[in-house]
Amino acid sequence: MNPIEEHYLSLTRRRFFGKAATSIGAGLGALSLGSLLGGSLAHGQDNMLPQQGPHFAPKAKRVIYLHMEGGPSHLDLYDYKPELRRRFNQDLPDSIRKGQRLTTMTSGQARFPIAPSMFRFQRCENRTGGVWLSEILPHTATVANEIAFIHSMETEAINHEPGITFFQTGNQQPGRPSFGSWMSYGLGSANANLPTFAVMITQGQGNMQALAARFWGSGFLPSEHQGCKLRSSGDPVLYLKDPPGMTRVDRRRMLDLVGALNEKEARESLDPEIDARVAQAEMAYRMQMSVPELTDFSDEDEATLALYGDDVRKPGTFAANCLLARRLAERGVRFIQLYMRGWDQHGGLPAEIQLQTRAVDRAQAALIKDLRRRGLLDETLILWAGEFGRTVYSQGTLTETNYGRDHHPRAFTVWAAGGGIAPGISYGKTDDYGYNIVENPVSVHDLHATLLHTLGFDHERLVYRHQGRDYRLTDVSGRVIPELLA
Amino acid sequence: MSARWTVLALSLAAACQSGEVRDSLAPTRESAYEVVIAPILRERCVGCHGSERAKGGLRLHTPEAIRAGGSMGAVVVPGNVGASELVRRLHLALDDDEHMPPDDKPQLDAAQIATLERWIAAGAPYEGPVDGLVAPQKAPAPTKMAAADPAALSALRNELVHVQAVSQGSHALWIDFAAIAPRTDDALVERLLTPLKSQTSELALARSKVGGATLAFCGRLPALRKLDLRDTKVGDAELAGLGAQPALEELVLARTAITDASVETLLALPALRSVHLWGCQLSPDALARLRAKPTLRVDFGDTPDTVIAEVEDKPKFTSELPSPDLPPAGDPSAPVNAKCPVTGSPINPKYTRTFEGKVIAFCCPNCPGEFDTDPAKYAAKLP
Ligand code: HEC
Repeated sequence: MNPIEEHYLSLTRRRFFGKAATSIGAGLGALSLGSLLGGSLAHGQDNMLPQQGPHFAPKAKRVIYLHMEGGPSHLDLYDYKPELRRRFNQDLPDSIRKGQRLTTMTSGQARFPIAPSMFRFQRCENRTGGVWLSEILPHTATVANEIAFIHSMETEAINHEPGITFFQTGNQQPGRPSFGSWMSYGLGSANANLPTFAVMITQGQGNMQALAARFWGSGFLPSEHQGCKLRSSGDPVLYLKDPPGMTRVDRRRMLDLVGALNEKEARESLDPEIDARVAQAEMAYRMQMSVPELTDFSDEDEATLALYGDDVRKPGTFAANCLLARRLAERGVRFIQLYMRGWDQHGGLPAEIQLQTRAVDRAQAALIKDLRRRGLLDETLILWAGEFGRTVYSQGTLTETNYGRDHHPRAFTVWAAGGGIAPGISYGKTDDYGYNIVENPVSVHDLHATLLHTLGFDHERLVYRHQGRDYRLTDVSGRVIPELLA
Repeated sequence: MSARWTVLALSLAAACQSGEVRDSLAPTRESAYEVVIAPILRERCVGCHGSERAKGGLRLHTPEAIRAGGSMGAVVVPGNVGASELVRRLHLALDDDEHMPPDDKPQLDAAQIATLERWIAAGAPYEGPVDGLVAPQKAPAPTKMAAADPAALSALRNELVHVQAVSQGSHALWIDFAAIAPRTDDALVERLLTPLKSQTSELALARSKVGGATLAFCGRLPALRKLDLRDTKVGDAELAGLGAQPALEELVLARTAITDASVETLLALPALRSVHLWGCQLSPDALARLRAKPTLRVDFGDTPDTVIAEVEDKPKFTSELPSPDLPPAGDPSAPVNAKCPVTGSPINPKYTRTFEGKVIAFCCPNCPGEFDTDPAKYAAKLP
């Protein structure tokens, strides 16, 4: 499209949503209307296919991003370091620390005593000689051969806010669009009755950091691309229900009447915002039906509920949100963002991390199995990642069964599975201390570039022009990692 | 559109040759150089680096020429991507004079670069397969496909049916009825898709009410590659309507009424390489017959759990391994002790004192001072 036209188009969209957000409320401002607007905004172009869409035929059509907020300990979950058991309580050697900056939570400690994981590990067969997983992930172990474990993830941030922002937007400073917003912008909606980018939050067990709504914000992209938060109690989507006393028939008549007036006005003023506004109201009307159907688990059989575990019956748990994620995926929602809070274990880690894994382990394995048997795993990309890992040395007192760990950005484990990802591999390696990467480092930009590739995008060409330059999710770097691709 | 070579493991080629039902590992048996690498070089480099011309003294049209390198020597270092000049040049900024191909020429895409890197990382072999490098299947040639009728696309959208080009520049369509699945029936599908018969490439009808008429209609869609009928009432009689649909590669029938009677129908689909049948009434015998077809991957929801190969014993904790920062034993600066004489914790070689000619190490910066208050007492605790 001509850049000048594009500019004006985005201006009008922004203005419209800015207004809509104040007049109708955040719930509606958050709805994604990509395809509807694509049709109605551009007068006369009604019949064309949307401009966006994958650059090449994608493997994955949608994403389920399981963000583990707080920074899970790679050393107690995925990065097996048996030698550390013979270095118990030794000091972290300078030759390993290499002057790495620490947070002020531990930089004042006189000693940095090595805290080997107290958990037993088991080797699960995969295509690269097996992957060692902690005993506290018994269910994840059953699907290890579907997963690509990246043991050599690194980030630049050492604190939660910039760390999460980096993973979500490709930049540590707030203000850029979230990954999900980029997908909404690039792929558009595949179900005009539901949001394109859905967000769900599970409260964790321990220390929890704030989760800012801007993590799923659309930055400078039109605000139709921002994430829509599905709440676990009360109405899943705010401001969707009709007020008491108003029936669906009343609502329909009201919409028809307003619609007729709007149409008259649109014909006279040719203002595209009017069409967009009508489309938005119609979508809200449809969501009044589609959202309750979505969140009602009564059509799930007992065996499926059992797969996810008992928690699935409690709204808002990670298990319930995983099942909801599957239902959203089935219904064509493009980007499903789950947050699991509470991985920030500075002290009492062994006890607390088990509460966390008990909440996620069965459910995340169930999600993979459930998608797989429904034929959806091949086209659904799953990412499991925290914003960083945790230190090999103990924060605070160290005993064999109790220790804490501080934030560690320099090396940690994340995993991906499903659409377009090589199943059953371990990629990258850390040193004997799980502190530095010794093989195949993966930056956040590399990860994003690789995930975009499975979704059919050349990360250098998925751009949005803002303030005179083209912005990308991967900023100015990033490399597709072929070994991670199926 | 020229054929694109990309990194694919789970492809028709791999599945065909593996002889396994589900084996995404199987590499192509063909020479990866011949089928994947040479075509990229031919398409993008050989014009300037081939038999006609040798810019920079470099030719890339034969294995010998690639091995010979250019004016500055080797450009491909087998097994070492980072040291390979050829790769370095691909990654340079477009406006860098050394960037290849020169900025006014068609560029490699990220997948092609990744492919070259993977080949070099694998030792740049000129014969035999490389894990993960296979020729992708050529998508149904979009050049032969006419553009979809705009009115038909509008009709779909008006009904809230999702429609999208499979990729930019392609006329092939992915059509998904998810938004209106509960009210999607045979009549609606036929009405909306009749004008899009030749473009419909991926069709999702999951959770809908479609039946035999839709299946018979799908049997007449020449470009239909993927069909999703999950959670529908489709049974054997309906499925038979597909006939020998020539293009269908992926079929999702999870939680449908399919039984053993559909085995023949499935085996008769010539291009079918993946079928999902979880929740269907299939006997072990019928499954075995389907799984006997080497090119077909059959998912019956019975994928076994990952094998646990080894479980570690309950860990014991010691500090017997020497710190890597410790000077080697015998070195005059090596401490004589492994435990801090003040606290009993493992020593940190950073904090030491020399006492009576011996180097003594401590656990932390505070202990040397404590030692100084009563050296004799602490020295007595040394080995
Ligand atoms: C339009 C012509 C053209 C095309 C196409 C082209 N090159 Fe070059 N290439 C040159 C020129 C001219 C030089 C010498 C100048 C220089 O060293 O930059 C060169 C030099 C090189 C060198 C350095 C050789 C040496 O030892 O000095 C390498 C490596 C190289 N090209 C790789 C490639 C690859 C790989 C491709 C395809 C992806 C490619 N080139 C495509 C024109 C081209």
